[in-house]
Amino acid sequence: MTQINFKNQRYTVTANNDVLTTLLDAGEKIPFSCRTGSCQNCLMKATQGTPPETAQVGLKDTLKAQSYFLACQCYPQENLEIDLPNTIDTRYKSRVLEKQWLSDDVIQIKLARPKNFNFRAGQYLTLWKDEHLARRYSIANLPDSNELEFHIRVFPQGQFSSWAAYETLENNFLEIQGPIGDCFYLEDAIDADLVLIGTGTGLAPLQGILSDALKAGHRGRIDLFHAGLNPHSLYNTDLLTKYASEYDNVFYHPCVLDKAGVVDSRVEYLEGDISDVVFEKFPSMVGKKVYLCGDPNLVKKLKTKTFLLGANSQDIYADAFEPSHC
Amino acid sequence: MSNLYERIGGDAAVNAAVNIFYRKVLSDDRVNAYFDIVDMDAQIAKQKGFLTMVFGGPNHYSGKDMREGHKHLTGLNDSHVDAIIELLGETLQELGVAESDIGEIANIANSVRDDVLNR
Ligand SMILES: Cc1cc2nc3c(=O)[nH]c(=O)nc-3n(C[C@H](O)[C@H](O)[C@H](O)COP(=O)(O)OP(=O)(O)OC[C@H]3O[C@@H](n4cnc5c(N)ncnc54)[C@H](O)[C@@H]3O)c2cc1C
Repeated sequence: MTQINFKNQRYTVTANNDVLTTLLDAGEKIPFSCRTGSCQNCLMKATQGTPPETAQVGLKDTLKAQSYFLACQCYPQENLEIDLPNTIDTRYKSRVLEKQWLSDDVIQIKLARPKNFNFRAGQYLTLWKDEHLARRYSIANLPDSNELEFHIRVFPQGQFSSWAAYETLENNFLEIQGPIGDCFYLEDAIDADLVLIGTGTGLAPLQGILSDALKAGHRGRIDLFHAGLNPHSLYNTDLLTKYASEYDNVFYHPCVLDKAGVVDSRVEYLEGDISDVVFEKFPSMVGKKVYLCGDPNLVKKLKTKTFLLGANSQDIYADAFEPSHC
Repeated sequence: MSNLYERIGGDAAVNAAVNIFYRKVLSDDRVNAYFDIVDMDAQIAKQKGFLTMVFGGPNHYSGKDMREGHKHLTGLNDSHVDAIIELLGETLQELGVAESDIGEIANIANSVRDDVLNR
């Protein structure tokens, strides 16, 4: 018999009982449906202890890596502390270290990384402006420094983004919460070909993922597509061009709908709709690991195309930057 | 081995089949309008449930669930069910499943036809 701890309540899992049944019998509200391990509605996360492998069958590798498991398939072998997914209640205070414009409408903000605050490059955090307003932003750097780097697209009426760009000052504090997300690099993929596609500030998580892959000594090919309306909407082109020239296996493809007459001998822009351009280069996505970040409509479109062109659903990682409704 | 589900490879067969099957479904103009891809991971999970059922595996999908799950889809008729069973057959052929097992799987799929079509 093992014990599980859920929301500070302790429950005993009796022999032949799974975690879902145990919690439901105790009156806890846990989403579920099929109870056979296929619908994945009863996804939970172990915050202490290791869930059995049999409770992780069929889960995406990045979920397994975060100790996610299916409660209906979980017959624990050891005591576990568990929670529902995406509930990280702890908030940290973090100081604004630096602000810098990366383009006409993208600002980079660096926050101090709180002590013991861990994450995987590519995950995102909730940033609180005040008690009432919060937005999600992806972390663009690796967890090996004392900073957290964000790329924020500034909307003229954006409640968070305009405030972050024009009002909050260096040395101010704001609250951060997280990390969340399953769009990140895993070393198991060291020989795989990676295709990273980002629109606008969708580059932020991809830049983190790229850095992580390079740090791991990635051996497969890495193609990074960064899409924007015109050359002025892209940013960090110098940095990405540098990566591409330093690493033989890294290819950077800045992609614009309209070159807008910009001539830059250092950067070769692809012109066209990103959801066509990528697949002209890669008519087959079989065997590739694909990361898609940014505009929700484009992410959805790219996801479908990527899948239809042969990538496995398990190998498609996506962060759609859905707008908030408050 | 007598049990269909075990014979074709159980959970591993479901995982192998789901990508191929769902790709076929999304590429087929006869049926793809009924499949929304907003949340692909959720869709894949649903298709796994369906495949587990028709492979004769452990599942809790009842006729009632099939009825509830398809009731809101207007215009659904026999031709759509036929198309799905055809795509299922193609998927299984690609995976090298024996013809007799494919027949058995088609029969299970057929057995929920009236529930799916709400009649
Ligand atoms: C998982 C996740 C990760 C994210 N990561 C990032 C990131 O790294 N960088 C980043 O810049 N953003 C990111 N976002 C988006 C971010 O959370 C906010 O939605 C965005 O910054 C707008 O917030 P706001 O308060 O400035 O604007 P709001 O006050 O919410 O909106 C103000 C106005 O801007 C318009 N608007 C808002 N979003 C859009 C849009 N996408 N396209 C067109 N108009 C829009 C609204 O319609 C409204 O009129 C992410 C979102 C999610 C869900």
